[in-house]
Amino acid sequence: MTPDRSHCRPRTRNGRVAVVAFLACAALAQPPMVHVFADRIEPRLFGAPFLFVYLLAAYVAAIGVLVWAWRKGL
Amino acid sequence: MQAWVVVTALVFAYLIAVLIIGEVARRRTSKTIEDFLLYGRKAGIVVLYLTVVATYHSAFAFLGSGGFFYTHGIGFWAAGTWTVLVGAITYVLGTRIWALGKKFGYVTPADLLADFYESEVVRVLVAIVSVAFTIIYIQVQATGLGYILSVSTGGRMSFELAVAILLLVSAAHLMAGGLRAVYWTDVIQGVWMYVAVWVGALVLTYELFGGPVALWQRVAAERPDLLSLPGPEGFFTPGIWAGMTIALSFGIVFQPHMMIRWFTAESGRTLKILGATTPVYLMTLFIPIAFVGIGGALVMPGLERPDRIFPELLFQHASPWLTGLILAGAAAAAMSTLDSILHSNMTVLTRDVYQRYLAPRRSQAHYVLFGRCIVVVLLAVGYFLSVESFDFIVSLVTLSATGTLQLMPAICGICFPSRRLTTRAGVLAGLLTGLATLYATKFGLPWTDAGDWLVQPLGVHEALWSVAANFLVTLVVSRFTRPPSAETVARIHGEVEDFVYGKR
Repeated sequence: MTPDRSHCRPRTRNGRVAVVAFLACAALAQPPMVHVFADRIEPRLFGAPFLFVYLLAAYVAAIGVLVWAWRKGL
Repeated sequence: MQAWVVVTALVFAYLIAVLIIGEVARRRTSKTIEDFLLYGRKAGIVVLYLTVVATYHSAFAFLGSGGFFYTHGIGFWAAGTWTVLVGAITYVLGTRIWALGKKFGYVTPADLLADFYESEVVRVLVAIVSVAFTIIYIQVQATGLGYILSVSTGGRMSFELAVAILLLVSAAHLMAGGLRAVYWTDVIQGVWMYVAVWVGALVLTYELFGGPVALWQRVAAERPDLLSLPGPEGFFTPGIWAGMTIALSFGIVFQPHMMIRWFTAESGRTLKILGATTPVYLMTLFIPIAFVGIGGALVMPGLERPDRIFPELLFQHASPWLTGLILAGAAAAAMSTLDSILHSNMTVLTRDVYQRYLAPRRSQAHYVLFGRCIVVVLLAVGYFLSVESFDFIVSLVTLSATGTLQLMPAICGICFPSRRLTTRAGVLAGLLTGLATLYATKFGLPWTDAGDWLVQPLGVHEALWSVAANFLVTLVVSRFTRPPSAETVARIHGEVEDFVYGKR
């Protein structure tokens, strides 16, 4: 039997949180955010250029969302 | 003892170890085609994790990424985005494809697509696209392996001979042990590659600059263009950044050697753990490579082939023993992907073309033998391409991934049930439109120079143009053409519904 409801949108609250949070993290690592906001060397963070650390933080946050989703059994 | 002798001896010792593993795997492999091609669908999390990361990261990561950091600077750190997306795609799409594969016995991506769209034309076209574009990937690995061995021998061995030797070793252990041999070596190669990249990069960073912080300080003072966008040659514009992100995440995972790995998982839970955690490995491997590439641009400028920056620096600034161990890790990175691609193309051509159309109802041993012959042919093609042409490794991988990215609308139509169904005609029209758009936005029009304006219009990468055109045509044509039968839709979409949301 064909599913009555679409799979294109999450059906649970945790599912919606995970999708929105992951897409937000991914968007932080994409243009225009990267090219407009994060394209700087200063201020240095832990000695590394701002852009490098900014992107690393976005990636770690996105991985955190994936791990959270797995822990929640999504 | 001379340095090149030590380095070469270590790389060859590694190659012998790979051959031994292939032979042991051969003795453990049963004669069934499922065991030879799919590891019996019994891969647990440790084996699957290491084979996926070792396959995703290849000469592309070890050599190509260093070359791109060297040439285009920090913009290549965009690589982190696509590795994180690979995890998410595995989590969402990979688990659904695994469930369908287990339920309906799929072995290749074409099995899945042909079953849903009820079309042998779809099967053949998907097989052709899969093989054609991953042959470029064989070229990438062959090129990388050639670099490694020719640098290891200090130029005493020609690039062509080095490519030939390493291709033969890869093929020998694959033909002997099938996917079991590939997985076993991937476990070792996955660990070795990660340790080798980190150790090699840190040794070079401390040796040349006194540590990562000092490296960043010196680059900021002497080459600030390497630390800002779009980079020294203006490459990483927003349109290129976004396009490479889509191509090197979706495009790579839709290649048969990655999708077949999903079929081999022992459970859906295994794939979810894989999706949540593989980005840790994949993303963090680019950190030390950034040190090597960006630092290398300072200490060794003007390199004719930037992809060689990592081995060249090692050879000049690290001890021979360490260089040998690390370059063996580099060979591991390339070989683990090469044997996986050879295996997947062998599987696609054997299952989707030979067994189905040319020689049905033969013995299992016959198909295994045919698969081995296919490997030999693919190797010859890979060898020819690698010695006859040159481009940045990353550019070749991106082209390869953009080709297989064109399977995306068709796969999404299966894995995301909705009331608007994609149809066979829609998928075929979309796929052909996507490939034509890819050609036009990558190379222009073949018959006239007047088509040059078509190449990356508005500075947007061809991956975005081609997949957008593909989606548009797929959706429009699907509105006006006959969908798959209600029985097939209910069977396959029903299984997806059951897997994701439990029994209805």
